[in-house]
Amino acid sequence: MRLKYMTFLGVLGAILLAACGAAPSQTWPGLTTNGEIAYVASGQQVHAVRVADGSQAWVFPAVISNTTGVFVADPGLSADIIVVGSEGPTGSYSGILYGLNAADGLQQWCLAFDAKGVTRTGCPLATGGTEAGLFGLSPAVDNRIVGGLAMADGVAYVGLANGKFFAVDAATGRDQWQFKAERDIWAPPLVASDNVYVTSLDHHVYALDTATGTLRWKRDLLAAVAGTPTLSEDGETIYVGTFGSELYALDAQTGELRWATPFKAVNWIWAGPTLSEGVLYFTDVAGNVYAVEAATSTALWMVKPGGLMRAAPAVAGDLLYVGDRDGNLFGLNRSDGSLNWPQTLKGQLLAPILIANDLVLVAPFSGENLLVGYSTDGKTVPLAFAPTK
Amino acid sequence: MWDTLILNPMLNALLFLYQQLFHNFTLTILVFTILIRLITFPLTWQTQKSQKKLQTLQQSDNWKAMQAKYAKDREKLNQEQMKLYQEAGVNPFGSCLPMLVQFPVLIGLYQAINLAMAAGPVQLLDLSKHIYPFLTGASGLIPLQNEFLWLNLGLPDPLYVLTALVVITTYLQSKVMTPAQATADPQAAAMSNQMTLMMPIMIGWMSLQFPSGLSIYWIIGNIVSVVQYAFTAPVNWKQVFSLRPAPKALPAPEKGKGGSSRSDKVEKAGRAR
Repeated sequence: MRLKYMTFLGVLGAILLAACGAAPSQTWPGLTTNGEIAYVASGQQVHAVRVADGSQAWVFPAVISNTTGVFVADPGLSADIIVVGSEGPTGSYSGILYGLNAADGLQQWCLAFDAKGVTRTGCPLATGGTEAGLFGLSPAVDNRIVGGLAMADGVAYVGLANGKFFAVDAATGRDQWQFKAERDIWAPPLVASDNVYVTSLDHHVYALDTATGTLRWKRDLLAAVAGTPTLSEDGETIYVGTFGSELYALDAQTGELRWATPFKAVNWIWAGPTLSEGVLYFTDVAGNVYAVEAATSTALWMVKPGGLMRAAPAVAGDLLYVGDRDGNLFGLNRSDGSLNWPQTLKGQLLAPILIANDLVLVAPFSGENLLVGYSTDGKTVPLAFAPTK
Repeated sequence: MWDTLILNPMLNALLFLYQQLFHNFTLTILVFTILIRLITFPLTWQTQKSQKKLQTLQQSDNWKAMQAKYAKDREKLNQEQMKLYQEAGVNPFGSCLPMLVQFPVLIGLYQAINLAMAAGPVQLLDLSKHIYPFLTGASGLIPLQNEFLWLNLGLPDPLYVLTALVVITTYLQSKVMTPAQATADPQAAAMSNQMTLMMPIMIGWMSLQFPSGLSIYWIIGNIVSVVQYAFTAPVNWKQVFSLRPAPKALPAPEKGKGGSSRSDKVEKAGRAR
């Protein structure tokens, strides 16, 4: 009897420990739009969806194989080329960039980041992507592409989960230069004039020369930075929030601190703020929404419409749109943060919220639809896209 | 309820220790595991005392005589066993309750370490909900330093060194904690042997998927268990390192009065030939 009991305990323990183990690497979808097409990176595919009617323009890859990774990064867009990033095949902890033809989604090139110096997909390896560890053996390095991409002047900029940052020619897929932050890069960078601003969980914001990758300045903000910085209307200031629950304004050219919010948010600020007409709107992961004056950091209002919020708010007209992990989408009045309309979807609203074609676009994580478009007054849902199985 | 009572206190204690221990997460896992094992030591000791009593009783002449006498009458054997338990003041389930109480603590510890390592964005979002607001400077600690030797504590060990250590220490722990027992049931003896061999292999296989931080916790936990046991009870190290099956089965009683088990029939048939 005792032995049976011990066996039961052992098996129960093993099951529980298995459940407690590493969670699957999948995270919320990546979402970008050029106004006409919305690109949703979710699971093992990237879907290009026409915003006007919700039809699928193309899907990449058309066929999923055992070397297909998981796409979670916000795609980078240009007129001709769409650059998407994926984690490599399961367990490889590698990252792969694909350059796709914007019109039909056909692959033009690919580039692999793999610490072991091998490629399981036939893609060429990025220069300096491999690493030799203790006694020349490959160390455990996380090369996954988790954050999104930015594109400017034919160059795709991408950060990896190991802190490496690459500039890649979008036409050919050749890497041009690389930079190394100390920890994970989880956000698309901001490209403005000849600077690319990179945020990292190593607590820093880096400003790099877009042409060479040379470090122009870096600023330690004493807590992890997981969001994309926001550029001021005059291009002289960047705004960024941190896990220290503070929002900072930094001089875009020197990195000097212009101001920090005179108050602390209730919890971490994950996404960068949204700037509109001189007001910065941002959320924290406790579910609060804040409005502060961009010039002075004076607090205008703060409301708590829902649960955990990760994505930055989107602005259209007099309304501000925020979504929470419980699947609630809120339209708030920009003047005072009061609730204008709420809607509830299936899935978690953690991906970026975008405005296109007078629709509020959301990509629910673990929901029924991959992409949903609400009218800005929240009354109709003209777009609901779910891939055919 | 689970989060409030178990997971959150453990996670925040872990972060506090990390703050004090030079932001070295491996050292934090080591110290925290030892601390938790020390706190739960009275329960462990209770379990071991009960097991030891039971073991002593099962190795006594009285017990063996009774096993031999009622080898063919399982019902009577059970009655006599219960009598002997009562006379010796042994509760055959005495080791189970303390173990049950410890179990949530150990699972909580495991979850806290897993959560603290937050290998991806979703895990980090989850972590944000569990940190006490009054834990000064906690936000500045995130993400925890995850590099140690060739390891990224959030990823599996690419060289399989930790997997080998998980298998070896789990095997050692099983051998030390389940010493040789005289048992009347050959099936139970075989099962015990299989468990001692299968558990390390199973846990080792699982550790191929584990973040290495969890494998480190598992290895430390095993070593601490062995050391704790060795301090409270004599360990037959010769037997621990021996690969021969430990428990030796006593002659098995028949299943019920007058009946005979399949193995008995096979044995009898063999003798008749």
